[in-house]
Amino acid sequence: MLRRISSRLAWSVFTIWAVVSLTFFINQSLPADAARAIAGPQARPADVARIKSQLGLDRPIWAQYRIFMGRLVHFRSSSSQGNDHSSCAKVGPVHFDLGISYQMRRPVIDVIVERFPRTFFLAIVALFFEVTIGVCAGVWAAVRRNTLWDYFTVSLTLVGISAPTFLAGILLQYVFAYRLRWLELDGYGTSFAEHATRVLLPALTLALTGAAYYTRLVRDDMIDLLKQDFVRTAHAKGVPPLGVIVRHALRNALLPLITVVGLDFGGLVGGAIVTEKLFRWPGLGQLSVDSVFNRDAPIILGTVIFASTAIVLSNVLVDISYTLLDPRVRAK
Amino acid sequence: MTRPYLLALACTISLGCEGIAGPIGARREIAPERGGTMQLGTFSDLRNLDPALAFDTIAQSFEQLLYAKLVDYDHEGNIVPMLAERFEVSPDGKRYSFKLHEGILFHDGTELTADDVQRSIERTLDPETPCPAPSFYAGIAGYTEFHDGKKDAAGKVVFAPHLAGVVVDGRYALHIDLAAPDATFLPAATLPFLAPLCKSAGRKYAREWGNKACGAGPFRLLDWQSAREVTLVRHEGYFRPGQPYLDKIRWFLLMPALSQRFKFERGELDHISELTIPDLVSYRADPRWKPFGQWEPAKAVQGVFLNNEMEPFDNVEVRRAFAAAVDWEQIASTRPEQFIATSQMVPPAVPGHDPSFQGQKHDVAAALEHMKNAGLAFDPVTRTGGYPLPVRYVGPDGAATEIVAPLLQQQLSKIGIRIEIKQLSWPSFLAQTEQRKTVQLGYGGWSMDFPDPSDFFEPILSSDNIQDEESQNAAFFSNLELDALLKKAHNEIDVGARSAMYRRCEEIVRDQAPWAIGMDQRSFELVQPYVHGYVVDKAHVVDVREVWLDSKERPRSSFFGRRSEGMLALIRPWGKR
Repeated sequence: MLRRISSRLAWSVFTIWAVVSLTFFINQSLPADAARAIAGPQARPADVARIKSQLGLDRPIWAQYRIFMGRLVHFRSSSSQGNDHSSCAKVGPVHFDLGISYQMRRPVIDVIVERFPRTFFLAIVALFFEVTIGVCAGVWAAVRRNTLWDYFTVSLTLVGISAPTFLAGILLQYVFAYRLRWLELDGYGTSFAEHATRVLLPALTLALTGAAYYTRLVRDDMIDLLKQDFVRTAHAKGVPPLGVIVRHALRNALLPLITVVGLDFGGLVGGAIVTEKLFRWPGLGQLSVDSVFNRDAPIILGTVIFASTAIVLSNVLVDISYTLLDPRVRAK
Repeated sequence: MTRPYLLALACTISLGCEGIAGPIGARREIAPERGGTMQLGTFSDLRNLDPALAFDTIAQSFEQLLYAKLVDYDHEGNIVPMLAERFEVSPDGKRYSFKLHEGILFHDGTELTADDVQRSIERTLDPETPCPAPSFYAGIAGYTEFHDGKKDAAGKVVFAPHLAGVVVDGRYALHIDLAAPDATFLPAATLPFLAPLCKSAGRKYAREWGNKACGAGPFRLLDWQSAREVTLVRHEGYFRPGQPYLDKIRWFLLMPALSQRFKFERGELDHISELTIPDLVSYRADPRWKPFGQWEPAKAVQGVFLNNEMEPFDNVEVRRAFAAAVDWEQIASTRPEQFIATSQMVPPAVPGHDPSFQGQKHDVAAALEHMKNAGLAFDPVTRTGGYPLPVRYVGPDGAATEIVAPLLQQQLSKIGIRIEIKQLSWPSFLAQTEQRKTVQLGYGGWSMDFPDPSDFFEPILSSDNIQDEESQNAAFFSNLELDALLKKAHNEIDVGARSAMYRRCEEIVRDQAPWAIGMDQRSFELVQPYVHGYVVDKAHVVDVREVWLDSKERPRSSFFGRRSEGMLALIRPWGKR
């Protein structure tokens, strides 16, 4: 099992390197000028040229790539960074440096470290809604299959899957914040209590699609499982209906759900672009979309590295949990 | 427009069309009073508050609150002393002498002196400072030696330790010498780049200082939560007695336009200017809001640039035909009041705008005649002739392309020019249009850096700004007479003579048609009735320096004690405040 995990981790490092390199070259080959984006559309050519030179954007693309990769992970003694280690995150002698944001003039690591907990919080709450609603509704629809409740739930999931995030978000804002005034329209707040109330609408918006999808997944699995012999046996042995559903059927239905939840979580941690923008949630999603529009390459690369690491790591965790949960996988 | 955007638009329109709430409170004529917190919102993010760097629109709104400058514009558009008690210009136009007010305090409590002005100017123009526009001040004597350096005998680039043209004449006096008379110097001096900064800013740019933002403006920075909000509080040591009136300003960042409207109607924002089109129409149509809305004077010109180095626009007759074929009145009517058709480069907010000037005129018959003169005669009945190949119009994402380009397509088809539309993201648009021999025609737009007519000709139409890459002159228009006039006007300090020169520049642009001009764009701003002293002027953006709030009419809290009516709120009609 250790070998399997280490092999997965090695592949993960390769995957992240490949994604980062690809992003670097795509970003470089775009027909847009970062120096112009920094100086503004009206800056005089001489000023743009000077900024280009200051940022090293006038060097060949391979030279820029070499500098970027050399700086990304280096040791304290490394000279690739000169004496300036102010933009590094330090883990013992190893330094991680994503550079300085062109637009904000702050170390990218600092910006990501500031934004990540907010996105993580939003992701956790959204995932909680997704799983809770999905599992409850899925089990309910499966138990009441082919009844009006089942049809109603399945129809609702269709709406949940089809409704675009921005539309659902605006609708929730309109009803709960603007009309009913039960919740704040947007923002992040300053205390934990404010964060906790303000996260509800964006998390619910994010969770709608996932919850609908999980409902269908759990419902279909449960319908199959409830027909199995071991469920019939449990009924015959006099186990209460709730116990049969929860302990015997649902437990088995959760295994495929874990895979999907793990992958979704990786995606959510990478940043929910539309939702964060709509609800002024100052997380990674908002940061990444702004950086693309501003051609802020260090931030683009930083968010890509972060998002790809989150997705790859969640994949690895799903793999590991599968190995632990399913004896058949463990035996291979 | 893609399907998601259509859906978003439909959703916005459906919410917006339901109606708008009325103003909160009533407008009473009261004397300025101190106190209160003003709340504002913007969909932009604030990236930096260091005046040596930050030059985007939102940063300028903050900078005018945080920093005081030597000179500034008044509401009528005249340059007046600010930190300077007075200033004088020498008869040859090369020396600007400033006498500062005594006892001006920075936000940190230290006194502002002429040394601070000199230090701050040198800090901005230091070669290591990533200032986006040092070339605005290239006319200051010694700029080249200080900013670009000069090679010594050994071939090594040596930088002067100080900017020779900025000279301190005493604790409260200084003068700035220019290498040659420069009529743009004073307008450029109103920009935040030259604002004096606290001593903590030092002589050299430091990355972290942008978060501290210490100046001598009417407000000081209390808190800046990145991507969330900025809070400013009154600078008690501000040099203008009694001002500012507000205790505090809270400015919310990255707020979508629809959220701004919702918050404005709930009294959680006191001012709004970033309105969606349906909301703009609703507010304009509602008589309750009439006394509280103002149009910002147009500070930008829009049109179509025609690449003078590429077929068919290398032929002046085709350019003239194009300019005459475009009906800007029709295009402007798609956004009534927001778009105003114009025929000159200089917009109304900028000195040098001449309402009597007769520029390019819409005249299809004349356009057909020009096409004929170019050897591309077109018969509108049989629809034969014209330019045989399609020409590609390149525009950025947004209304400028989505609204303007299809109308241009229709209008130009009447004279035998077929247009293909290509829409790009803003950075890609800039990259392509600034490249030589790449784009035949495209969206032309220019907003003022500072209110001076030179700013609407030199960057975009002078030969000096033609390059193979990053050419700001996207029309690649080169005209010797225009170049000579622009250089002369730049250095001319006689206002009358200068105006006559720019009028001649307008005539050259009209006749040579490097651009089809165009229309001015302006925005609409609203305040709640309890907001007093808010003036929309020609030079500033969302300027709340002189604002005061009517505490009696203003709701006490953001929810103003009005609780939700529960589910009834969902079915209750609008507008019952």
